[in-house]
Amino acid sequence: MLQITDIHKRFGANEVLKGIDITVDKGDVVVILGPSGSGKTTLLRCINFLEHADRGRIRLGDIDLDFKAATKRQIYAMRRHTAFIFQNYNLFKNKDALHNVTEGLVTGRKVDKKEALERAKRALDDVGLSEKYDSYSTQLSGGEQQRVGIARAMALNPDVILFDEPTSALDPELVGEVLAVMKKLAQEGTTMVVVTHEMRFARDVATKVIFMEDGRIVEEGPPEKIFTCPDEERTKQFLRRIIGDPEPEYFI
Amino acid sequence: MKVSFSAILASFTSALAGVPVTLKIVAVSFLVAFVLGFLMAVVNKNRVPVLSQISKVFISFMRGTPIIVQIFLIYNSLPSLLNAVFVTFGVPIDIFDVDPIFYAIAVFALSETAILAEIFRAALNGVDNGQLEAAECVGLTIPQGYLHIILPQALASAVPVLGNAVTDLIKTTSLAFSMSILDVTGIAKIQGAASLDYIDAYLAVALIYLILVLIFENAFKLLERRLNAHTQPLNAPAR
Repeated sequence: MLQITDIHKRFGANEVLKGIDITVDKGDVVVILGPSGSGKTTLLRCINFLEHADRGRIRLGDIDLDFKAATKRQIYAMRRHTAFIFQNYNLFKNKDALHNVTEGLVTGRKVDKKEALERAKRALDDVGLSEKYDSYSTQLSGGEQQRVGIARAMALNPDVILFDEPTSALDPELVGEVLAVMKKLAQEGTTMVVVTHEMRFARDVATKVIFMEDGRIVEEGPPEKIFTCPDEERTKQFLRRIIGDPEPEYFI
Repeated sequence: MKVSFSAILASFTSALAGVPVTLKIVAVSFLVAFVLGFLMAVVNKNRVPVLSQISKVFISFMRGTPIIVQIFLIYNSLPSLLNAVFVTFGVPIDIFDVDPIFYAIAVFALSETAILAEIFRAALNGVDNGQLEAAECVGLTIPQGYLHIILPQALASAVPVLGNAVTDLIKTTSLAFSMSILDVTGIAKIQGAASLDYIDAYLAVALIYLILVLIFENAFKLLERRLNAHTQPLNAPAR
């Protein structure tokens, strides 16, 4: 359903993406792992044209675009099928939770105001924020803000939701509530591409795990395989560093 | 020299007749400057070729020259220049018939544009880039993002400075008298000259400006409090 071929991106002399191919099927939860600087976030931002890739193609449903040659109109059309979750939430600071969700529906998609409000309320209820309709971002905790962000994305009924390290900016005790919402989304069959460092989420929820390093895909496969017997030495090293050795080095 | 209360009061009442003129100049030039200044700030922020260079030269000229000199240039030199052009090309407009208030508005609007462009530039820079990205991601076009998301936030943060700019503008318009406009100051000058009670007339004028400025200052304070109501919740502490 979503297919990216041979995507390249450089910032000045720094080549961040060196030719990456990804295929995401409907209902897939693709988790992208990798050390910082490996290009995960850039990849995600390129998919949504927040960064303009230098080369490559993207196919989403019946839209087929060349990254370099896409016009503004084509980009807007593509974005109607995607939604993006930011690491630092990026809730509209001048709007309350409810209008954060309705803004894209009313202004962007010309949905009738009344219907937009209903859809927004349903989306906020789904992420457990039925009490927070009229709260502004300054009045919400990080976890609540991110859940509004997810509601804002869901209300748009996108074909795929892109998550850019959705829990990295959160206090540890707030990570759970956001992951729970994401897990629920996944179970409902939402197609998701997730850049994260949450290994448990990757292992439990992902249908496919992609390990990236230095602008390339090192290895990809189902989580059971990547987490238990990866083919590549680099993947092993990375996972060992993040998860820790199965054999503890110290006993207390 | 004697200062009499009744003379001040008399000057005060007659100079009040100039308040609508003063407010008209302030309102029109501020509105024009508001739009132009915002566009200029957007142009500068996005480094639009040619336009941003022009606006930079314009801003540094307006900020680098005294307003009285700008008045001399526009009010005293421009009409002769335009007249020469109009006569040459046979445009049937008598430039010397134009109400001087247009020149006053032109001067104050242009100099205010330079000030507001800088204020808006700072305010726009204060809005996080992620806000526009989020707007794009939920399907807004960039102009829509500016209108619905960026502008309201930038304005809210600029309100205190805009308040200062308006009160400054009110006081600056007193220079309109040099374009023979009968605003508050213009009337007072004529009165002072007629009665030779300059001191009374000027005290009355000072009082009028003081009142005007106080009114605007407080209006902007109210506006500021309203706009920021949600960023500093009064009863619910931010978590």
